[in-house]
Amino acid sequence: MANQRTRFVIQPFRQNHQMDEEYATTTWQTLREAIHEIHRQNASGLSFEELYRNAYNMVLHKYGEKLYSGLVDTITEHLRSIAAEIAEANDDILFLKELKKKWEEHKLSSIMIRDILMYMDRTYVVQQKKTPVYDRSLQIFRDEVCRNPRIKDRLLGLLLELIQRERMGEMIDRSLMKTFSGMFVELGRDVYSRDFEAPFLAASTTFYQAESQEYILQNSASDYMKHAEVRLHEEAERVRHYLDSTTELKIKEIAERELIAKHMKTLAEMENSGIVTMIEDSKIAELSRAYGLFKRVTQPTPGLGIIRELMAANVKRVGMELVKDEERNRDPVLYVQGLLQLRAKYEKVITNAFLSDKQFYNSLNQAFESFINVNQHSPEYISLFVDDQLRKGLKGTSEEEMDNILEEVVMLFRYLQEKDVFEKYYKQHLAKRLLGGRSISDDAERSMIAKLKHECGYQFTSKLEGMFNDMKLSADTQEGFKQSLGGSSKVGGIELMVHVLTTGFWPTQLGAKCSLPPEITRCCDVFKEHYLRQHSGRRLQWQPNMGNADLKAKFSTRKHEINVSTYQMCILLLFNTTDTMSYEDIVNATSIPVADLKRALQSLACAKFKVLNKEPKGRDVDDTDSFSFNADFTCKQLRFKVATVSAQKETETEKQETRHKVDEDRKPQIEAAIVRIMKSRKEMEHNALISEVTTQLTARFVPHPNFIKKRIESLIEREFLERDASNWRKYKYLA
Amino acid sequence: MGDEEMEVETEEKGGDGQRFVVKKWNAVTFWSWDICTDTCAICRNKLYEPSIEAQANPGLADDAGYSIAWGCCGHVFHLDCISRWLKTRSVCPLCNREWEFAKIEKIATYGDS
Repeated sequence: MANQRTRFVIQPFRQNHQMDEEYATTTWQTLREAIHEIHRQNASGLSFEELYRNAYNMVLHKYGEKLYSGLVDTITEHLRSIAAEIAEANDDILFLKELKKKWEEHKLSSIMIRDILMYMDRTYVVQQKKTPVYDRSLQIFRDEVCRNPRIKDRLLGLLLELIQRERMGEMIDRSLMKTFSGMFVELGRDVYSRDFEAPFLAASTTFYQAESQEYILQNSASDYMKHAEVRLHEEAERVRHYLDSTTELKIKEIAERELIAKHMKTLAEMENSGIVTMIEDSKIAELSRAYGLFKRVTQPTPGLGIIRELMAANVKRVGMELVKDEERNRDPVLYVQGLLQLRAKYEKVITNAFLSDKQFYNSLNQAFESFINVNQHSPEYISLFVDDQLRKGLKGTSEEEMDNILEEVVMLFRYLQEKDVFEKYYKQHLAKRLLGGRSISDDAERSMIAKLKHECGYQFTSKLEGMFNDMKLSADTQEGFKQSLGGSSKVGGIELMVHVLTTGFWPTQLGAKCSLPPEITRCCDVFKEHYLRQHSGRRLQWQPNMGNADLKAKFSTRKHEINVSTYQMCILLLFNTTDTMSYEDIVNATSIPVADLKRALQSLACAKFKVLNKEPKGRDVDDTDSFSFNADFTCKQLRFKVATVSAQKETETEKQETRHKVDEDRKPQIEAAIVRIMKSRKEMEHNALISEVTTQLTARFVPHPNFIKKRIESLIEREFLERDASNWRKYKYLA
Repeated sequence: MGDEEMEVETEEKGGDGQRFVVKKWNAVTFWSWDICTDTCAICRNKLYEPSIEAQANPGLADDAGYSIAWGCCGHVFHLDCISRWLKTRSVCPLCNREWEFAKIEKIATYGDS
């Protein structure tokens, strides 16, 4: 101060007001008093400004430590008495309400105290790396109140009891619950998880373990799953209402594990109500629930995998029974209908209950593939079904329904491994429909071809399309023929209508032959002359096993008009000149192959319209039988058709013939595949080539390795390939 | 006897008196090339079907595999097969006579009409 006279110096402010120990104690006393008042909820008389200044001064004058530790002591002291007070409460609800009240008060007090001591928070606390006032205050609450031995377990027990009661259906005070779970969180994440969450999860596990075990013994799978669904929903709701959101995943995991994962097998196989039964009975709602529940489980085995396997096993079992069912094997239409219904049933389940899950469709498809190919008649039956539909099944169905049916059939076709066998049969059946004019809808025919083409590419359907083309060209040819004869297609009184078909497109019967009667031979000659004039370099081969004729027939009482096959026509015309012929005479006169002749005779003499008499009578035709004209034949209808007796399904020899044709047709396809592959690879090992060829052809059929090997050998012979000189299992392409 | 009457009638009234008279015949016939074999001696595929090369490369723009060629000697091959052969030798692979095209026809292929 003496210097002030000579020089103007600004002295640091604090030098003027050195705070001594005594003063500091007084100041702290004031502050402590104020803190007490605050704790007593009696802060209205306090001056914030004054208290702030006091605290500021203490910190400024290096009494921060005194202030901080004094504060901790004061709060601790206060909360100890509070804890004792709370613990006194006899009534549990009172206990909780008191604790809730004290917690809320303490939070408010802590805010006020923090505000007064703000300067300390900003300087002393930071410098000394202490816990800020508010947080420290809560820590003390945690240690003195929450973890007070008389409070801690009682509180937890009460909370868990309340949750348990809520699980049993009671209404509980959710806001109370929310306060406490909030309190734990505010006291620190670790407090929440250690003091509340962990015991809560443990209790939940025990609860659901016991509950699920008991419930599943006393209820059906369907009721159990309903219950589980409710429980899972409740747990999610609980978290939403009063627990911390971090608990959601954990409790979900526990509930899912205890309620579903541990019982999946039981639920699946439960007798009369399990998932197997639900699938069998197409219980959509139940299955949808099961899907939702099982989908939640991914550990240790994915829940959906269990349902999927069950479904697949079920489809396989039912399907296997179906394809082996004798009655269905007698009726191809019934057989295919069974397959369609089976597929529709499971498709409905997958679409409606399993959210059209792709993996379920895959399993379904695999299952179908496995049993459809067990029955080697499947390709034939499916074609026969289409045949039936396109002949008559579709009358009265709309174009759209029809398209749906065909679409479904194509689905079955997709499962076939030997698609080329199907093609063979389809060709046979289509040929009969086209030539017999039996198809009821050209649009439907073409739509089916388009679908097959879409599935297998143009090569697959090219011959089928060629058949349609032949029909069209034949109509044109017929028109030209008619005009060349001057507007009528009559040759010697016989109206002649010819289908000229391309060799190779149509199914052929080996050895079909017949000595045609003279008037018919004349027809052939006239037509041939006309045709070859238009198409030189060709020749025609008449097919007596195909085609049909309208005959005028005269019996003793009445004239009739009858429709017969070409073979039958040839036989009947013999009886214009004789009355009785032995079987052998007929064989010699017509040269019709034995099986065909017998069938034709059977339909003329042993079936509905007995135009001929057979001696001796009987259902079957024997080599020693003789036949005569049945002059006494009567029939109500003026016109009728003599259907050829024919097994709709193939006979054993026909089957072998078809099989042989299929194998023949596979040769060029396999060769083409080999050439295609070798052309791009130039060199290839035997095994690699075999597997590549198989892969390329699986869309149509599964070739046998030996069969491929023979084709390779044939290609080597024809110098498309050669064996490598040093490694004879390696092939080289010869351009 | 009735049978005798019938025969008499037949002779007297011609066709009308017969027991069975064909009014209409729906006939079926297959056409094929007027050649002695139906396979191509070069690629061994049927001559009514594309050559093996064409079958292996269905996308091929060149349609020689979809045509068949007659030589003046009367032998027939797929057009692409015989063309490949003619690059090295100009005789018919079957009879060794000088090759000369008699005619070329497209195989009635499918679905393109």
